[in-house]
Amino acid sequence: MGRGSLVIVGTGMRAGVDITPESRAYIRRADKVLYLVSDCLSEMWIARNNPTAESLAGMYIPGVPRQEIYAAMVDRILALVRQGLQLCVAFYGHPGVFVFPSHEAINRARAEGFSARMLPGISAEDRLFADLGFDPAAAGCQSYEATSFLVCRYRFDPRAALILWQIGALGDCQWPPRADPRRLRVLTDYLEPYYGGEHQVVIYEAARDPVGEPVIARLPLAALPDAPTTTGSTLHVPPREPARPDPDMLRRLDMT
Amino acid sequence: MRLLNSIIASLLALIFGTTAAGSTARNDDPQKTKFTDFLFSLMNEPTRLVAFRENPDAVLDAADLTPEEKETLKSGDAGRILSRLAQAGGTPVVHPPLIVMPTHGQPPPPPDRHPGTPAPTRAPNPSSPPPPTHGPTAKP
Repeated sequence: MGRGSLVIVGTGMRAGVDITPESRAYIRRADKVLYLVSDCLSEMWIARNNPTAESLAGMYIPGVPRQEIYAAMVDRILALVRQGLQLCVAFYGHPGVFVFPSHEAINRARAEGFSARMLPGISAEDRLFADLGFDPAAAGCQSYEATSFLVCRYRFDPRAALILWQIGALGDCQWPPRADPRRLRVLTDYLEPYYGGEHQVVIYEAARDPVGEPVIARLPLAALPDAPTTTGSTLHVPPREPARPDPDMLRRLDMT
Repeated sequence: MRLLNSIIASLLALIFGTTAAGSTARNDDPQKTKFTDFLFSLMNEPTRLVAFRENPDAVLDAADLTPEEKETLKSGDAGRILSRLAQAGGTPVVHPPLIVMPTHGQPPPPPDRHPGTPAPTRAPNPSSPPPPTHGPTAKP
């Protein structure tokens, strides 16, 4: 048995379609594959490409804080690398975007002297830009995990787009998250002073199979507490108004 | 706390690395149905996927699928597609698992707004609760 190594890849959002050829090759050649995906088609696809594949989804135990679940995932990954395996771990979407265990596992593997790297995949945000047809360069784009956004009261600019992830798990650190309209009411109350209740927002969920369509629900902000959501739901809040260039800054940059 | 987390994590890994049927890739033949065959062909043949996107009827007409299966595929409804896949032996995964940890416990920002940040269209609710100053350990 040689020295263990770790490669973490992203399967993208749509099963078998969003993954890069390089990541596909790593899955096929690995001694062992762990994976966490969002649909059974991806699960079937990974299992066909490497019969050693083992899902991490079973580590989600009802009632266990997600923080502890993620720690267990990291420990499972490191244990296999220490055994000398060429380990490939596949996460749905982009493995480095809003994924705690991937970064933590790579940091710890490197700290222990193992080769560890990450390969990107198509993220939910990538799909959102395409499906909703907005360019983050147009007015800027702010992106937060929804619970952190509220709890930490991050400063944000309503002149730029705002993306809030995991609104279906708002304020809940347990597994499974419990949908609670009262929490969406808290979010709505927080946003309404900046945008107004009539401001149009989008609840978005990326497609997960090759022929599936994304879920795109457009609604006024005030209707958010009553809107159906899942743990895959993302809130997109378009800019309230365009930003105006600052004359002084234009002068300083010789742009007048 | 770190020791406790480590113990819990080890127990979870031990349990789920060895016994949970749902955590291990199934040995079912993933192509035992024509419906699953068809989807795998789209996943493995990008030109066929593009052909489906451009003209689904033409591709489906040539496929050996039931009218119900064709209708399911044309609908693009992820729930219906996953449900039919589950009938074909796949593990139904209704909602994507979360792998993001909310960050708690950071100190609240100073009361002044960031320069250039536009004011709310109306005053924020003064009864809003203050931000918490404690909570689970934040991710790095």
